[in-house]
Amino acid sequence: MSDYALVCNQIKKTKGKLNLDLDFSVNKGELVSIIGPSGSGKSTVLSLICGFESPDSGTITINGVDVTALNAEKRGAAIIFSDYSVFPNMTLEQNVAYALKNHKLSKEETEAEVRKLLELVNLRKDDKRKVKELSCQEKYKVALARAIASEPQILLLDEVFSALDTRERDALRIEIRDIQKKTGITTVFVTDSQVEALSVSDKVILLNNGKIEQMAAPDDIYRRPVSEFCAKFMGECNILPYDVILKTLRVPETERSKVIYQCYGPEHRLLFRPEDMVVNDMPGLPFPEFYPHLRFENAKIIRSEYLGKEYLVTAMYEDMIIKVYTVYKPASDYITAGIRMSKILEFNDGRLIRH
Amino acid sequence: MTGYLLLLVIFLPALAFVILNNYQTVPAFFNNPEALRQTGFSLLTSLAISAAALVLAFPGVIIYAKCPNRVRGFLRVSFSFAFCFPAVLMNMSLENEYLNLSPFFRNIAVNLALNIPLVIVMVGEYLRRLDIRQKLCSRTIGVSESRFFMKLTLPKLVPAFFGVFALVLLRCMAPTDNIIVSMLLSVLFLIILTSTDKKRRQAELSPACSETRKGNAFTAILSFIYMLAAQCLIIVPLLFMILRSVLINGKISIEAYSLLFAPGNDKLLMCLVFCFAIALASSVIASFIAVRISVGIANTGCSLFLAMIPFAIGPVALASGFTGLYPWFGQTLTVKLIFTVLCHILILSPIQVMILLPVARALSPNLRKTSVSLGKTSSHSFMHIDLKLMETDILCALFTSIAISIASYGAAETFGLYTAYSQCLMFWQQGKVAGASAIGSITLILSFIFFVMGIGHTREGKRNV
Repeated sequence: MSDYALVCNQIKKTKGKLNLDLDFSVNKGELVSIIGPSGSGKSTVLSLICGFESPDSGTITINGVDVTALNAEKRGAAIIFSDYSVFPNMTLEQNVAYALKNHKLSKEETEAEVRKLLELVNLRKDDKRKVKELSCQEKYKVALARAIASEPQILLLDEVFSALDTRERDALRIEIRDIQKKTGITTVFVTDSQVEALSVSDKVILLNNGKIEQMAAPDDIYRRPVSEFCAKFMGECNILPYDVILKTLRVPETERSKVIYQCYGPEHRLLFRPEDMVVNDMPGLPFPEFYPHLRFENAKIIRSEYLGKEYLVTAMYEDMIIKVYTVYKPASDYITAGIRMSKILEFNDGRLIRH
Repeated sequence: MTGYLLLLVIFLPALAFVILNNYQTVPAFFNNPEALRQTGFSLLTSLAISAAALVLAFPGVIIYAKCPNRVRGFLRVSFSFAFCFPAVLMNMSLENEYLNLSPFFRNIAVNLALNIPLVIVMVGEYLRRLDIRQKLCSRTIGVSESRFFMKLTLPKLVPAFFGVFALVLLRCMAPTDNIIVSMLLSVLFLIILTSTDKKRRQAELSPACSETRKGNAFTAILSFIYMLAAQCLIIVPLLFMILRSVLINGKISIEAYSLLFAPGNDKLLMCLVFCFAIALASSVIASFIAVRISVGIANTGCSLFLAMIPFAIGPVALASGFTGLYPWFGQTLTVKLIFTVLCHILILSPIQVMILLPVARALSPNLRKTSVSLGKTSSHSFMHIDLKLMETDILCALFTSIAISIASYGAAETFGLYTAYSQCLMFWQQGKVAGASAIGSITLILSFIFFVMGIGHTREGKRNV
């Protein structure tokens, strides 16, 4: 028996302007997020796995069985859409019971099963409400319970949190991970939020124009992005020309020879995350020295955004824009910030060459 | 596909025989200047009537879209009944000593009376579903209401007007001497009707964004008078017909009715039984076809065109096509009844598609996809999800089509069946005005009962699931 719950083997699909070209696998019991800009083919991937669309070439295997030619109802891939598609002609309990695989259950057994599932998703057990009386969050939970009731081999979630507010999203994010761990159902989760993808997933797949830009663990994809696109998509970052080293490098004279300056051309760039920068937060205190590093002395602040626990400061250093997080509100119009060389990634022609 | 296939299986033989029996007459028709002149005149008259109906209905459209919900519900029922009111009966009703209209002007009056209320309801419903958020937004940036109407609302209304214009044209176009030419003209108008479908769907429509506005007293009085006049277009002829059936020699009497149902005179009863049986059978089958077509219809004008084409061709032409099948099936009463049912199915299916299509389009495709992903087959999902959600609308379409079928006089007459129409006409020609009016009243009231039952099943503002 295969260790993979899902294998998309050299899948190709042309749909309008989108040319999907995929090759990836998901281990059993994993939660994998698919993320990417709109139009990158995220939902099409789910449609292909589910069987609503057929690939032009390639095979899809679920738990070792080639399902490429199978109808959607025979694949064992339950999907939850962003509108949750809770059947409005049924009550909450009827929705869940609809999907129960074993139709030979007695009424009492069905009720018990439904209650168990509702309990699993933290819904009231004796809920007889109609669908129109439910909140978005509750609809999502009903859809989840219903999907689990069908005993799927794979659970597909298509931007399920897009209709929820931030607090609900945060709460359900945790819940979805807990339920997934409890049930052990392999889950593919399409989202447009980097935070969601990074926080709940075992693996993240970043799509760009129908191709997998990177597939890696959340920490890897954030810390070691393979391309500039990937780095920019996964979070705030500073991208500066390589020759900024000449202007900003701070290193003791004795160690200067250890820093090798080797520029590959104008497309050779440096990338680092704003949260890795160190800021001279407290006026009057000396800037913490650490070697070697790039120091942006007295960069002119052009914008300061208060984010609650910190500020995101955008500043101009010479003709370059740098972004940096700081705990304290900048005391003047200028800021001094530094970044360790060890935190810097190097890209040439948009691809990672050194980290 | 099942719906289309069924429709085509019924439709194609009739169409084939219409063409086979009449194609030789086409060259002669085009070589006959008088026939061409008459057709041209008839076409121009129909165009003029349709345009006039649209212009006269325009204030009604605005009033309808802005009036309170309760009033609108009443207006919708009474105006929509114009769809079930046969032109023949309206014509008889207007042929009286008080109006004294020539046949030409009576034709104009009949078509205006039957189409103005329809335009008001159809375009009015469209107008009130246009998303008003843009309007609210425009107000905040200082755009006047009239400017907004001219620049944004009116362009969005144009496809709806074109669609309704083509529908009215189909309804009021008198058949020419040549059945094939009539068919071709109908198909042309149908192309206009279906080509606007995509644009109508593209306009931002929302389930219930009607804007109820209280104007000043003067506007309110004017609106009331206008709507009352529009209402009279349907109600007055109906009342007049009932009145004529009970007014004999200046006295109120139900003699005409008692004569119709007198012992030994079972013809009318038989006619009514026929009418009802045909209506029921054809409506049930038409519902099945219409549901399949509406749910499975692709979002293209072409598929809508295919579904609507029998409606455009009309019952009389289709019935004449079915008569071409007599050599194979014989001319027995059963065959005639079956052909009449088939003809009614062809006419009623497109009407039901028109009722059900917006509902089917409002159903989220994700519902069925979700059901399939839960391991249910497509047919199981269709039965338990789509059909259940459309239940009330299907009943609405069913009852409405029974109402239309009962009041329909064309097909059964072509097959020479005993119909309410033949009885009505016979009485009329014999000068038995009260008797003819009584038959007309009975069929119209029967039709109205079913129509009200149908419209009672519509769900205001709950269609978007």
